[in-house]
Amino acid sequence: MKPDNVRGKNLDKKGFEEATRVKYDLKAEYAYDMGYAVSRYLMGLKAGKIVGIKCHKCGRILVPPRAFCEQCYVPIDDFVELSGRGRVNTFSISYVKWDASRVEKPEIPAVIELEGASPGVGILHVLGEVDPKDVHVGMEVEAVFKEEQDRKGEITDILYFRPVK
Amino acid sequence: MGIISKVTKNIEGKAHYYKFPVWYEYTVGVAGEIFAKNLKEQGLLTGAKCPCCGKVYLPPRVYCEECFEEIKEFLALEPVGVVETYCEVYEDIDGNRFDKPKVVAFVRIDGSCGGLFGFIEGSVQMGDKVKAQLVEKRKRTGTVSDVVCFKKVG
Amino acid sequence: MGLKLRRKVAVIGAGLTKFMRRALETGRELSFYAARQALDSAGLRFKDIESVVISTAPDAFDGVHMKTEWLADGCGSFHRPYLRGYVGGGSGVFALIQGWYMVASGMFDTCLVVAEEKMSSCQPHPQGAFNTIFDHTLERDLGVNLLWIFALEMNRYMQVHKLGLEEIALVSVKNKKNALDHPSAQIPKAVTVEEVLASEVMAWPVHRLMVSPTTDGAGAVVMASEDVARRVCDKPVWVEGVGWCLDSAFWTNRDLYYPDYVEKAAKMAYEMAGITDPRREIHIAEPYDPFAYKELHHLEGLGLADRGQAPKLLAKGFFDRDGDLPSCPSGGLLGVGNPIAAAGMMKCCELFWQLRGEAGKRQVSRPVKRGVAQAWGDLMQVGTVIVLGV
Repeated sequence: MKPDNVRGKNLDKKGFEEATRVKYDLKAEYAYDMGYAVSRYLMGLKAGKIVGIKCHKCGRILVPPRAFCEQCYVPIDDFVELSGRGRVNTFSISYVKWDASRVEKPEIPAVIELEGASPGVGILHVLGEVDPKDVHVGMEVEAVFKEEQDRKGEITDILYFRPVK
Repeated sequence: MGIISKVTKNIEGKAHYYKFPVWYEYTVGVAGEIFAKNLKEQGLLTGAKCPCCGKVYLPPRVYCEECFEEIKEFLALEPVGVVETYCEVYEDIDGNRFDKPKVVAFVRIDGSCGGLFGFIEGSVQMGDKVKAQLVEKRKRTGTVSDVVCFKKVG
Repeated sequence: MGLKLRRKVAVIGAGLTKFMRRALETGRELSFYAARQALDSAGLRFKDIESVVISTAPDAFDGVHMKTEWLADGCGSFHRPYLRGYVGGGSGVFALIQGWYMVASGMFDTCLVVAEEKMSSCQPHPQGAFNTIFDHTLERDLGVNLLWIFALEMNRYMQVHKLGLEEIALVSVKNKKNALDHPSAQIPKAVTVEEVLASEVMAWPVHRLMVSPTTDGAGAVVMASEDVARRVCDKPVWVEGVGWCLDSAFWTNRDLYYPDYVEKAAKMAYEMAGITDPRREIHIAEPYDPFAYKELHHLEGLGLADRGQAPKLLAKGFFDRDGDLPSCPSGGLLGVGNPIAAAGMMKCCELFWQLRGEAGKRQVSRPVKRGVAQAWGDLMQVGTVIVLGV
């Protein structure tokens, strides 16, 4: 039966700690430029608004805004203000963090299709002020922004999306 | 019409900061463990000899890159060799200036076709015979950090 | 597209290491084990290898920048032209596609194709290295982790097709059981649907037993021109079709329930292979299964089941080893392991052995002359497909 003579020595956690190892602390820090379209989006968030962009060729209204339509491959700059409301396209209830550690209180990431954007066009964010049991696909939600003085022009200027009452 | 000519609105330029949150712990591998053992227990380096072409690799490895044959013969070697090249270093990795320049050399270890990088204690010239000064036995980790520096002999 | 194959290319040897959570071996050592085994099984000498393709995914796992250059001599690249392809998890199949065009172009008669991944070096957990897959400005600050996107895609797939978790859990049951017969397998296990659903909820609807592990491992194949293959190999496995396709990184702007990019890649490969009815003309499949639902998602993208119907066929035993269209007879990523770039390679090796009748206890019941392997990667973006036949 193939494969035969399979090689490799597995180490369990203890074996790994006992093996000779070299530790390396990577110093990798980045300062990313926003670019033209995302800067405008973030300026909008700082002002408490969600901004999209329209492609004059295909007519799609896109968010997050971008400097060119990736389907038509033309530059665009027709920004459109959106209402800040939307519908849950999909969601998850997560008990695991980026480093594989566990949390008691779950986070609820979701893709939210925004009102005013083309169908199916949404952004990633989290849901709040809602019991995980009550979340469902199609649920109407609205953005909850931080207080004006606390906004910095970042995606976290939106605290979360909550169900529309 | 280029993309730049379409930029008609004023924007606030800003940068977004991010620090990559991971670090690494590398195992030294099968050959590396043999190197570690010899260094920790006997203060000796290790070479790996190809059964086909006879080349002795240092640091050791489990395969010969030229013959692509598996290497199973490992030789304990004295940590002595010859300075093949060296340079003077004035700054650390972050650009901070040292009080005194440091000398880093590539030392071709006797009995192998390989060698190690190491700091040189004292003055040095090309072709000088040098010997590794090792960390005291009980503090050794079995990696090249056990070599504190190389010093001239003879 | 009307592409005519210029030169026939075959896979003539394969090798695989153990798939492990934490290997003692370095990435170079793992690569050597797999590459040497592939070379020996092909019956070629090292000097017969004219070119090399190395497939290895994020440098951030092994923690070595320009990782292929570092792995190169362990992959047999000494003083030889080599190529690195990198499409995340899609790399394992993409590597064979590159090996194919190295030989099909006429530039080389042989190509050693090696795939490697050593994820265990990354601390505190390899999952952390995936964070950079998300948009640096608009997503990372939300506290993202890799499980989110799979959970979001799985939920969408289930919602659109009105599927239950038990239907998805059957994939874990099938694959982990299949893996019991794979010598390289990392987490083979006989589990029931109940056990899968009782396992820890990581990011609902994803349960722990629906996720593939992080893995260290390597695999390799030798590819050769028709001339060489007919001389040295008793049963060459021919490359009949290749395809690959990349979707947009604006993943929140597309409906995740169906992988368009897999369909397009499969179309390209089937066209090249002259396949018009994949469900009849493909006898065995190794679709990518990093998560249980993904195998179903990809089977539909590959045209091997109607949209939303893969779970129904699975429940009927259609995709079992003794079924009409065995899928993941190897045990897949769920059972054998997921060393990102090497996982797709494992699938190609499986097809190689199955088509030659060498898979031992894993050998599928029905006669097989043609199979498809597919890998996936990046931000729900890439489909890489290869059709192999004897």
